Amino acid sequence: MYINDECKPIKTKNNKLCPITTIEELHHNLQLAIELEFATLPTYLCALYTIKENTNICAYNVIRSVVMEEMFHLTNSANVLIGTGGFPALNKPEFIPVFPTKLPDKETWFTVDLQKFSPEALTTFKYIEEPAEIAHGLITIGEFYANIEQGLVHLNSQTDVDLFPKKTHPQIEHKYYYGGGGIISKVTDLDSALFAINAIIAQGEGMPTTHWDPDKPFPLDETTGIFSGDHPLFMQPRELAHYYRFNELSAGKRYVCGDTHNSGPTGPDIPIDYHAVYNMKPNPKSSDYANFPELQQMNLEFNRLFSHLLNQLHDAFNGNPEILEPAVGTMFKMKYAAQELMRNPVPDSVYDYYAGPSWEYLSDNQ
Amino acid sequence: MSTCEQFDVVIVGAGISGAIMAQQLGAKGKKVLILEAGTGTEDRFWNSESEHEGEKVKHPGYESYMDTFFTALAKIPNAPFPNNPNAPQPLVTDLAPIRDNQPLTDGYFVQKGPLPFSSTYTRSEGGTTLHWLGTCLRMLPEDFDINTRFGQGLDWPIDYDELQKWYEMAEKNIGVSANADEQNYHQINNSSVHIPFENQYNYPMEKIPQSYLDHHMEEGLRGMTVSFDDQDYPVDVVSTPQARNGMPRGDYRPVGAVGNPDVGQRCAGNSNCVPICPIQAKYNALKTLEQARKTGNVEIRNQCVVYDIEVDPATNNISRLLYKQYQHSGSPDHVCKTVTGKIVVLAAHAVENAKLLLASGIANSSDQVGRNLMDHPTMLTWGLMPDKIGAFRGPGSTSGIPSLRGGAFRKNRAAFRIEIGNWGWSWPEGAPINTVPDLIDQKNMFGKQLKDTIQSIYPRMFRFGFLVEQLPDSNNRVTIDPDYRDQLGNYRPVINYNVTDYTRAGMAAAKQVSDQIFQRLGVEGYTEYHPSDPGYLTYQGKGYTYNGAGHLVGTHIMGSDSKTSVVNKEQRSWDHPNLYLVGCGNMPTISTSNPTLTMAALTYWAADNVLKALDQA
Repeated sequence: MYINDECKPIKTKNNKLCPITTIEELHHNLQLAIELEFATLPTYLCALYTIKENTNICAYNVIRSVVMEEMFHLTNSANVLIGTGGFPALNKPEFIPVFPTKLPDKETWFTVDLQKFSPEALTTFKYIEEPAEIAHGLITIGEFYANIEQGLVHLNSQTDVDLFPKKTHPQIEHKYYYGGGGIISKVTDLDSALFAINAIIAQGEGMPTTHWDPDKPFPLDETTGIFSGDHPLFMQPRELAHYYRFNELSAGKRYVCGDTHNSGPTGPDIPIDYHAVYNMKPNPKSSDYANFPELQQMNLEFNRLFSHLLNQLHDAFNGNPEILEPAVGTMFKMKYAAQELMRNPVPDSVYDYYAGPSWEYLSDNQ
Repeated sequence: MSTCEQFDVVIVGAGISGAIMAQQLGAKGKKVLILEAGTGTEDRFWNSESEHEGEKVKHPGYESYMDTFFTALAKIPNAPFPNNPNAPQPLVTDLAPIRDNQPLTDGYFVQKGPLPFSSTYTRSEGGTTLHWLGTCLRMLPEDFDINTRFGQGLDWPIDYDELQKWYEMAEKNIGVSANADEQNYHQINNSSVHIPFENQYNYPMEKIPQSYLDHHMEEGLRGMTVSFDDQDYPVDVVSTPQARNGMPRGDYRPVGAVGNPDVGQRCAGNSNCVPICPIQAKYNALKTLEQARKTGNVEIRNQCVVYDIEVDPATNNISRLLYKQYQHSGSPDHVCKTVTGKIVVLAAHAVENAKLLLASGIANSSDQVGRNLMDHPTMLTWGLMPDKIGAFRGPGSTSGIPSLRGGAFRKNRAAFRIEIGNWGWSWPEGAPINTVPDLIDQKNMFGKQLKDTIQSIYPRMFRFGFLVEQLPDSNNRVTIDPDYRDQLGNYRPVINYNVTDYTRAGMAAAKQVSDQIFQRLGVEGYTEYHPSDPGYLTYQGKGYTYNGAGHLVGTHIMGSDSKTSVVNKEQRSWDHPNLYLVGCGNMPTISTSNPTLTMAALTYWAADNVLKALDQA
């Protein structure tokens, strides 16, 4: 994912991010981080839920693992925002992009669609997760977070700035957030804030390196993927960075010892069956179901759940972390509602499309 | 010439007690071998394949159990786990009433009665924890000396205080969700059930949220008492401690599925704990086995059935174990092998430990091996609540009524714990899988009528389970008979079993409590006990039916006298200095708690004893 000059909320100059010099800029960047992380979820989840039960197990688990880590990143960003005295905002229609979208940063060279699990979807996923090293001349999410880190360091050194105020809303702690892509930590000072941000960079794009060599073999051992930074941070099994995880799926092969960025994966085949997938209409809209009251009702139900989830998450990040517990239940309900839609064909569809959720935020009176 | 392999410790059985023993010893650098009779999945969650000499070899993972479960017609507790003639296992579908002293021989057990023994277990790597519910209750202090207090049963050679720190260790390592300030039962107005906990101690995870039904019961029964022998006892609903991942306390990390650790770190409400949790949010021994393997000192060999144990007559030490290793469960082809360990631990399950000791003719100077087999004869009562209580949701049970577990009435009759079932009539009637087809096929319902009927009845379904105490009885026993063998030529367990009046009186008292609760809550009773039920019995002219709880206890009890017990308080055989027995077989009484937690606590203690013995040698 790249951030370019058109990305209005962030100041850039000569295709470089401007340094963060005020608390307001920091909070603005962290809110954007939350939106960026969240924006990837509908597209990943659509692909995930179109996979028919007990098929494409490897693909299912890879996409699921990335989704969990995006949620972890979101929560880490929110904790840094809360810990520095800010207020995450999730309960508004603008929080959700309208698909197809350019993602919050309005890039022009690729579009993010909601689509079924397919080679095209994987291509998009790889665009989203492309590492800094191969993004020539473009600003990446990794650099976006690095800029936040520098901002934190700078602001922490200012004697007139109370960067980590004593009285803030409670953060999301391990007790509420576990089993989800990483181990959440409380942000109380510069070190813990940098730890949280660095965890995002490490998981998403691999550990940042200064001497990147596309022909250098990945540090793989016999059975696992590319070193992503998880290992030293969280004692989790080694996993590939997101880009390489998706590249394994699109190539249909595993990376093994000796493989490099340039070699691509040369290991055993990954069984993938693109036919064992519900043929969801790309970028479903409420209007697609105008003449089909049953589908309309199901989609409305999904959007109600989705809106309820955003309200719950907003409340959880704004003083009531215990609400994350029932929010997990809402996530499961959304999954079932989405899968129900996806199992239903859209009548009279020329391409034999099936229905899918439209991911819209409904305010209270809708 | 000796080609016998040597280990520090050889453990027979890869269930929870074998896993705990291996993990504890492996972590201290001891070389350990586990021999498991059944097949296994090692550390795999997903099925996989490899090529061996041009042939594709399948390696089933935990997923294969789900596949088997989905296609099984009868969703019984052992439904997901392989039917393996080389390591056969008892099934609830084997059961029938025993008539005219004719033994039941169709299943794995040979049941001589007079009543059938109704509990089963699983012979696969991971053992019966693969299908347990996960209830992790501690015993009451008074449970350890019911002979002294009530003149019934046996006293243990240890007391609650000695076991307490091992309970804590078991709760931490298994991963139990509960709140100590509820589980000490100090809120209950019956001091007999109070359990002392260490100050500041708490479980590694917060209690699993109680179901809507639990709250409904709690409200409806508030202030209720029942009277036994002119003494009033409270009827209090309390959440049940469970080996099921919940919200972690402090820096505890919930353990996810083996081979797929991202899933299962929290219970996701699949409502399928028994027979199989699809995501392993519920603890099973595969988790401890994985930790054991990771020590680098533990080897687990599946498909190896130990059939004989030899003793060195000079020292009375176990000299070697003889086992049959088979390639496929479908074929009896096998090779015989031997192995030796400085210390040998039998962790094969209460029935299998007894069977193996009897087959080998060892450790039985007391003549107690195989005797004192116990279970919790479990009486169900069921009915329809006046309003919907959300049946069939959540874990199988999240609360119970423990306030009647102890008291002076134990002089006269068995105590019991009441389990509140969250899954409607699944146990008594097989609902909904067995009952919905009846609506369609027999009652000719379809469409709206069928939907309306299901929607009006099923969410109101309710059932209690009464886990009634059974005393040690030397006539309730496991024996062997050369006429009854399995495909590999190993003995099948021959079981004599009865339920005494002490326990029957407990069932009658339980039924009275149930009737009072049903009346108070307006439950429309549907409970029926039929003489055709395998567990049908009568007491004072009334009929009751018990089911198996899967709590197989006794068979090699611990005691302080070598003439009346099989192991001492260290859980070491009185007869053989290097032989330890672990598992529920060591428990001299069953009382009213599901035995796994107590057994796990005892096994952590036993592992400590084995370590000390190895280090002294």
